[in-house]
Amino acid sequence: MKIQIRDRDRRALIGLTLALAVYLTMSELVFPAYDRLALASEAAVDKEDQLRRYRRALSRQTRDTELISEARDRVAELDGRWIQAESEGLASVQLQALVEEASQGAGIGVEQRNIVGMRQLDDYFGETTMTLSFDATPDQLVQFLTDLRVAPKVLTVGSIEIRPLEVVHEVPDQGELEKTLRVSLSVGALVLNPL
Amino acid sequence: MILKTSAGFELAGSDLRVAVVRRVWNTIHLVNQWYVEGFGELSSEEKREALVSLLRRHRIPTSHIFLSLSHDLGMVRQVEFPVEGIEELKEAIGLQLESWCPWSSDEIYWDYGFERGPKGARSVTVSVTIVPRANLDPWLELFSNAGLRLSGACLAPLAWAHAATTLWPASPTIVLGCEPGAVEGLLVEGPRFVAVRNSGEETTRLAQESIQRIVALGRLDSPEDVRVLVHGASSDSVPWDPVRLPVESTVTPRPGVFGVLAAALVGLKSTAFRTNLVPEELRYRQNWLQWIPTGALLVLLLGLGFVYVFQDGYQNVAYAARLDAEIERLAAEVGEVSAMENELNQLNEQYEVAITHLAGRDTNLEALAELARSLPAATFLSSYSYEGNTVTISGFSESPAELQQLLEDSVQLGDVEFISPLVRDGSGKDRFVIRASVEASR
Repeated sequence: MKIQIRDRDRRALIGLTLALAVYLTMSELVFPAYDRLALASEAAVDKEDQLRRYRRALSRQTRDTELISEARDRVAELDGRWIQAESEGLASVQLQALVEEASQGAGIGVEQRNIVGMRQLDDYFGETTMTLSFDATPDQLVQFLTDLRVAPKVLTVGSIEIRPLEVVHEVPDQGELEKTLRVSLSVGALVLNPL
Repeated sequence: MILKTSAGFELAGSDLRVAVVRRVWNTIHLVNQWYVEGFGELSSEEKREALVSLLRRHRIPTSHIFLSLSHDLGMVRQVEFPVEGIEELKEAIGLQLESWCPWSSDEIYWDYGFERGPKGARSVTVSVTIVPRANLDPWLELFSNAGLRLSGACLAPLAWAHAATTLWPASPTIVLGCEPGAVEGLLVEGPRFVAVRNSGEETTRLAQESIQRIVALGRLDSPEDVRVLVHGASSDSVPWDPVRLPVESTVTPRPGVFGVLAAALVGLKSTAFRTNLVPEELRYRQNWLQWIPTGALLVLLLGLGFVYVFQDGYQNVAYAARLDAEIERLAAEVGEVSAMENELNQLNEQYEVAITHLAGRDTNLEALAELARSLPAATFLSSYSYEGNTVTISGFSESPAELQQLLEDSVQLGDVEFISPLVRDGSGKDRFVIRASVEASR
């Protein structure tokens, strides 16, 4: 079958081809490019924000250096107040030494002692604790507690129970009342950065 | 083309009629019309001057000029050809020309028009128009002397048939051109036409005779359904209802405008009757180079449009690239600052935690001192315990009820309460158990 292409058919084909070319150009090139360029506006705003944050951070650099130096000094000042040991056992040994030093200073003979162990308090500190019991006069007890408080490391009495060996109901008419107290207590020490 | 303007020229009697017609999409607009009376009686030079004057005064567009010649200056003929020979139509007509007309082939201009019939049609009707060169050359020379070239020329019957088919494509039409001394009649029905010419002075009678001949020759089944259009300078003497031309116009069409309108329409539409007697080499040819500035301006305009649309986006892309470069340059330093700030935060947190631990130390000494200071001399303690900032004491007192108030009034203790009933002891004192919180640690 012979296909005859008349002028109007030729014009229609040319028009169709042009329309198709325009459609493909717009849909495949122009509109995608336009969309990408439209998104560039939002991207530029985001980058502006990021650059602004960077510049603010850089402007704080000098101040941050000074603040870090101050903070390190403050923390270093306190570091001497904590037990620093490489192991739990060594920390317990230091605690026992401090408690013994305080008891000897107060003239107390410790009868029982027990090492409880280490527990983690937070990201920076742990606590090693020991319990002990002894008999002492009120003066010795106060001296012992005072010595614990002024110990070179921070020691804390977690609990204490004090009972007189002999309960009195009246003040003696003559002479000094000699009181002896049975004391049970637990002493804890803060350990810096426990392993 | 969406918009096209054409000027038609027709010599009717001794008058020159000119009309400018514009096509906008498929709507025909009659822009204006001018009649130059007595043009045919002027000398060649006077005709040239009148033509130039007319064109200049009314700024008539000269790029598409079509001329309609009177029927008596040439001849028209319709012939049937088999569809199979349509490709060799020109050669076939050329071979028969000398048998159709009294002139030799080198003395004439000729052209033909046709439209392919419906699918399956076995033949095609071809309209052939022939004019002696001696009748057309003076017009070509006249326009040439006026600095113009004709785009086309045809005989009036085919111009009218072309116009009738363009304006009323569906129904048969009779066109009567009534001019002093002659009436030309034309019947158009589909691709066929019948043309007659009657000369004489009685226009009314000539018109009636023309219609009768046309109806007879055209073998019309129902002549009453035929549209009859009467035009020309003598059309007033023919008692026929005027037919409104389906064209837009801001001017009132004058009698006889159909003929010149038909000449102009040759340049605007295509039908089976469209012919052009002007040889191709003598026609007005558009110099496409003249479109170069327009094309360049269009390209420039398009470019400006693209620049306008894409300008912001492109600037943002370039700006974002510069920001990226700056961000990348600062990233290393910012990383150091970020590490410093993390370290600072960690140190501050560690310090705060350490301070909290220091503040949370036991307050046994303060509690014992407060008890020694606050309790009456006749009160004896039998136990003291401390845990979690809470002190619990038990003992004997002659007036235990006062103890609660005494301890409440102290600086170090608070929330003082008895946690068991008072029990009278054998010594005559009451046994108490009291719990209080050590406020100094708060």
